[in-house]
Amino acid sequence: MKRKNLNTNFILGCVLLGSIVFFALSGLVFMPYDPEAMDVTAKLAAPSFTHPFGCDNFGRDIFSRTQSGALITLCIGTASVVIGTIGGTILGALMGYYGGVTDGILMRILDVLFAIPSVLLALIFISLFGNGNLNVILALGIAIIPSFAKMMRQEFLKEREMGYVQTAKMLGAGDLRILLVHILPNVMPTFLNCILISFNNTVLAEAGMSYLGIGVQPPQASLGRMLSEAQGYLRSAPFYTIFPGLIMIIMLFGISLISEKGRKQNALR
Amino acid sequence: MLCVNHLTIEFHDHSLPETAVDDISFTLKEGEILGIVGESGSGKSMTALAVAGLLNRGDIKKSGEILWEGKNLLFVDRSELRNIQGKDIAIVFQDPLTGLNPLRKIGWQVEEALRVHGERDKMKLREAAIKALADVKLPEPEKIYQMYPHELSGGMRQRVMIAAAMICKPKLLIADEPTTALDVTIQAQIIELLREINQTADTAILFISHDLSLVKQLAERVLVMKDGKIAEEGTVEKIFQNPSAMYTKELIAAIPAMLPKGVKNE
Amino acid sequence: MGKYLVKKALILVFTLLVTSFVVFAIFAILPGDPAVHKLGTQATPERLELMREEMGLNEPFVLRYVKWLGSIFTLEFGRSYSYSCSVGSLIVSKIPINLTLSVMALLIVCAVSVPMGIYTAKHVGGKADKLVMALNQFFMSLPPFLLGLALTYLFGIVFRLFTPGGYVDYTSNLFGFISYLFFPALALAIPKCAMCIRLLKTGILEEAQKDYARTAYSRGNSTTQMLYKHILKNAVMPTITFVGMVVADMIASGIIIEQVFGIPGLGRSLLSAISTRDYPVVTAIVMLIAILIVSVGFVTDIIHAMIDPRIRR
Repeated sequence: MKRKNLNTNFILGCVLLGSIVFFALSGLVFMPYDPEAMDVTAKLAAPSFTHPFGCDNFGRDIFSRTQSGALITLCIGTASVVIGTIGGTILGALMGYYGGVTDGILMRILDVLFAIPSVLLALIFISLFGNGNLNVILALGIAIIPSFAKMMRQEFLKEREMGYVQTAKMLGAGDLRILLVHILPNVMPTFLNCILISFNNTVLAEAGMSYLGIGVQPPQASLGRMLSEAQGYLRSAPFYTIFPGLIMIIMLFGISLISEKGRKQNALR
Repeated sequence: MLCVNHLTIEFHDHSLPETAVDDISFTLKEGEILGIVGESGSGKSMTALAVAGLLNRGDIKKSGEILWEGKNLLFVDRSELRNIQGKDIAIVFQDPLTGLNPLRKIGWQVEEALRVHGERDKMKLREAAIKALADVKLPEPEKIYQMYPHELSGGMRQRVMIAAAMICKPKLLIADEPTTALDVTIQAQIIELLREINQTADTAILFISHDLSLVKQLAERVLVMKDGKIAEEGTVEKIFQNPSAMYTKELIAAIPAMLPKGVKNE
Repeated sequence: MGKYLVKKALILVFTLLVTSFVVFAIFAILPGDPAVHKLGTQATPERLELMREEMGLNEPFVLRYVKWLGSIFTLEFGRSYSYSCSVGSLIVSKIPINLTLSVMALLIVCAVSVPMGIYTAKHVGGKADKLVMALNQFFMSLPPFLLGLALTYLFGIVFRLFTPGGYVDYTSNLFGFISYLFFPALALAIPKCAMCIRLLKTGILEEAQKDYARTAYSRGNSTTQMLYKHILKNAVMPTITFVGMVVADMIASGIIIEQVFGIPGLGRSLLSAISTRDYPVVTAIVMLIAILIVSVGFVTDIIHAMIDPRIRR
């Protein structure tokens, strides 16, 4: 019963996220307008057949901008998760496997960094190194590392004591071989969970950052930035908020449904 | 006093219904010690839970009757059952490590049955709890009254459980594998304690165990269960000297011969 | 308990020291010269040198750190680059705003999720439970700023219950201040409520399966007595941990929510300091937030220990 419920949630999540991915990718093949082209005659035009989602305050087509914004968000999310995963896994594995004083000190620092929400970490990074897509990716990727490393460390610490690791050691396997060949496959479930949760958090953080104007820079479209611009026209042109908002809601809801399983297991860490 | 007739318990939590207890009947007189023996899955614990009124999940189907002073405990209202639970019928479970609430003081938990059944006077509650703790041979009951479960050993916790069960002077104490989780030496002490309780408080005991040798030490009559049915019933002497069911013979054969003291019975 | 408290307090102090050092170091080893930034690239070397001297940049790193650490206790936090005054005078007046916002959001979370968690656990599988769980799943996934936009639209524009952007400062009208913060707090609270309800519900259901609950039941306790006297105390532990994390998250989300509702709090100061590269201000705000987060962790530990005797030793 419970299991069935979980699966339907998972499938629903895949469908929702899949449709957003399709929507975003379709922009590469077919996009009704250039998302950065302004049309003074169509300022804040209401949704119509020519502009299905309407136009923004510069007369740019919201549909096209939503398409490219969703794609940017997904790309940034994926890229930062890749960075965070690599960094977090290496750090976590080394800390968990070798332990010792370094582990103790690093753990203290990670504890502090872990307590600081990832949006804030990313903000600090941006304040140090400036704006731009690459920096956003780096910032979000680095922001993932503490929580990722913490979760992975725990797993490696647990596995280190297992019989099979001891056996491999006695047989003379090198540390790198033990880490990669022996332990890594055994921590796969946690590893995948971490990735899903990180992806969820990253997309949320990216949305928040671009809303604050610190993420993707104009004139490039991003969902968060669109929403912050749309807020000024909430009264006169609610559709400007509604469509990008809706796309973002579907995307985030889908991702959260997918990462649900992982969160349940790691909620308390 | 207790009369179980044609008790049947079925589980409906999987696609196929599963019969845990299949049409069993037995009686228990006041002050008597009845042992129920059987391997795990034989339905002995289910029987105990049913008598204690703890089987009220929606997916369990029960039939027959458990007559306690004229009332059928199987189908009586929960409100009425609550008047009996803890007061007339008390139960001690297998694992004393998890059976106590970790966040409450021992004293509070020992008093609980009394409090639930209407006693409000804190001094009286405390007095009764300390007496109950002393009755189960716990040293320094005043001190233990103030302690938390994690500060006690497994054997001590089981004594606390028994003290908590006995605080209302119940007419029936159900002991569901009370010694299984304990060391052999402590096992013997707990058995001794149960015998004493039976004699001094005149409490009937339904003693459930998978270990026939323990049942032999304590019980007067024995019920041998297998696959939800009663394989054999009779006095301890009769069962041991003249077992009729094949299964009972196997069980007896499985008891190791006299072992020197201190050797663990594996 | 006393011993535990001392131990935890020592760890707290140590963690704060490490945090302050990390935060200070991050901003101190920064590439680029603050003096150049302040005077512009055309400044003469003599003037730059003078500026560095004035800003205390020529002192050794450790000395600067110690000085800065001292300035935290006087709520001064060093001097701002952009405004020639102490950072403290810029940000201290903002602290009550963020504190009120977070506390209100936290109160909403507790007021909603505790009764709802208990109710859904008691009636698990019922209609209300299913509805709440479905809604939870949805609200959990929403970022607060989207909720903030939705609330602004719904209650600010459609129902006209508050004026979007009409922030009232606490010094001029305390009641107006608090009532304006209600909807921002709600936007912060809703996703966390959803999580808390679920956590509490699963906690209660899990604890109800445990042996001690069965023992309590066998003593004739009613379901309600069981819940309040036995299960709830055990079941809230994970929820408390989570609430501790929520506070940290609320501070971060608060930065964004401030923008949505036009509240001039710490978040706005942080954002403008980031855009003008006024590092002393950024450092101070980050440090403030870190202090708050670490302290909340400390408080959570203490609450845990108060509830659970096993942790105290």
